[in-house]
Amino acid sequence: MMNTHDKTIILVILALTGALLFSCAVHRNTALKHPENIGDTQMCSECHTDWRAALDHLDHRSGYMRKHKFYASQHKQACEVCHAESFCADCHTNKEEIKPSDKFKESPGRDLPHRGDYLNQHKIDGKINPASCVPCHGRQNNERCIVCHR
Amino acid sequence: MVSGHISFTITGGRTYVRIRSYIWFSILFAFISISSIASALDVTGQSRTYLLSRETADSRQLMPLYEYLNFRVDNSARDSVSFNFGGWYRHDLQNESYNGRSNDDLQYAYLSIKRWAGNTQLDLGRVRVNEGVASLLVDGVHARTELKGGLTIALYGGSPVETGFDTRRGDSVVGGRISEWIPGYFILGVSHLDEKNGGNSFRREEGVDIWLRPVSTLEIQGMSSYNAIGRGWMQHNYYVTIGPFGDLRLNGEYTKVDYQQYFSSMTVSAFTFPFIDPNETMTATGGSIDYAVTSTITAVADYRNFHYRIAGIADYYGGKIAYAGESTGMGVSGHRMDGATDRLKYDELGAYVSRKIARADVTLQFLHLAYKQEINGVNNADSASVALGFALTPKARLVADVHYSRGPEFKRDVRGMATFVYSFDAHYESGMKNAQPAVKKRRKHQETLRRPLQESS
Repeated sequence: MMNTHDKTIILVILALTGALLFSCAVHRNTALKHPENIGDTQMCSECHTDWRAALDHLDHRSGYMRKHKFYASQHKQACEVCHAESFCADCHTNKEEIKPSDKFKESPGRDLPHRGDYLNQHKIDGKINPASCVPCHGRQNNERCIVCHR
Repeated sequence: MVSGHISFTITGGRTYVRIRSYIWFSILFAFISISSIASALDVTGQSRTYLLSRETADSRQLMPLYEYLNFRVDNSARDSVSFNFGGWYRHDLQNESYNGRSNDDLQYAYLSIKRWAGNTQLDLGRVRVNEGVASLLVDGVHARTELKGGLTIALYGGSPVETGFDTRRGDSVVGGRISEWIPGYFILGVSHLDEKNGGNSFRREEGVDIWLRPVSTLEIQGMSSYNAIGRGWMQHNYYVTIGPFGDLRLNGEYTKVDYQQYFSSMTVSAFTFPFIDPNETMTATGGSIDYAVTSTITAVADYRNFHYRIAGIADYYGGKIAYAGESTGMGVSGHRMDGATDRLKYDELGAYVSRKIARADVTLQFLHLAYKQEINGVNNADSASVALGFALTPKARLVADVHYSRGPEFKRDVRGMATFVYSFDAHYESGMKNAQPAVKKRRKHQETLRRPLQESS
């Protein structure tokens, strides 16, 4: 008798096989890494005129921090052209406070990353909008939280 | 179900040892696999060593030493197979910080197989999955492929990597996302996630996500997620961007969260009932106006309103002005949180300056908070950070951070951090290390990659 875990694995393997077979018909690809060093250029349309120009919506200005979860979900292969997995892991699976020398020199605020006396501040922010904590700390990255919130 | 006995099962006991053995075996397998099918290998990565110093509230001096290591091994011929690793180890040189004197964590470790000529990717190992309602770390498999006509299918499954409140035995997660896209105009996706804990249903969610850009000056994106166990909508979260119109851009946001549905499967007690009121609903609406004053100066004004079914109303508003020059950056920001009670009211002022001088760089950050109601007899909290960096070589960097703060929790808190960052890359051919840097050896490969880009442009 198979348990749930075995069923899960079999289901995934079957689905993968089908998907991989179908993928032979793929008509275009996103480069694994950008062939040129593009520096700080973030507008694809500056060089491309085809469908890649439409990736302009990935420009990292104005409110990108709040919206990047959607881009990561819908277009991760485009993120991977410039960013390695370690770039995501620096925030999403980091266990130590992110310092200005590491990232976000231009972000002294208390939203993200948490700077200053956030130990005290989180009591207020957590009451105002606890749902905003959940994507990072709801089910993981909460070993520090558990020290007090047992 | 979740409250009470939360423990670090993942990082302790036999389960952990088994997982660790499995991971190291995977790494070994990955190296052997890649090296056997590739005539040449590129290794790129980074080592970051942190030495922190701080004092606890009970006057204990802590000095944890961290080593963060990440690297990627790929077959440089086509880059179609790679192994990616990220993890850290901590040892407390003085007193115990938390969760043992030593600790470690595997952030990710997976073998990635990607077809050179198509958007098909298969990841095996400990991998991060972002597919609609899923944003999680899984010990298992994740695959994604794009078919003809813009149809994309993604599937994943395995054992979820979460903070444990029991053992991982019988834990599993499976899900996927199907989406359709017309490049430049829209993406519409539907996703499903089914997670079991100890063989019992723990979390079952469905979601619809959208990205829409009918004209170049209007972009709408967001997601609605549904709790299939609780039978109710968990969250609606949508953003709209209007512009740019010259140097002006407008952003809008709408979020609605039903606490009963949203907080039903958490692993930390702070997010479980009754700490969270299951009858509460929060609706946040707001937006921001961004204006590029010059090519280097940007001004932003933002506003958010929080409306609660039970707790009342809160407003958060303010602005920021920033300068980003070639070697200098600086900015100031000010915000007010105007909660329903005095306890939820504060003013926030921030400022920063950063400057590069030859191989050195310096960053200063300040933050001031004024609370409407005293907390622990204190009205204000201030903090200041100084970071000094120096590039020893193009690959090695030394940084010192000093952080000072005073506020309701600490009368005076001084923390220091010394960091050594070393980036490495190497190229191996037929098992022999080549003395030339991998970057140079990659040129031929880059030419290969450039070809399909030019052909379709």
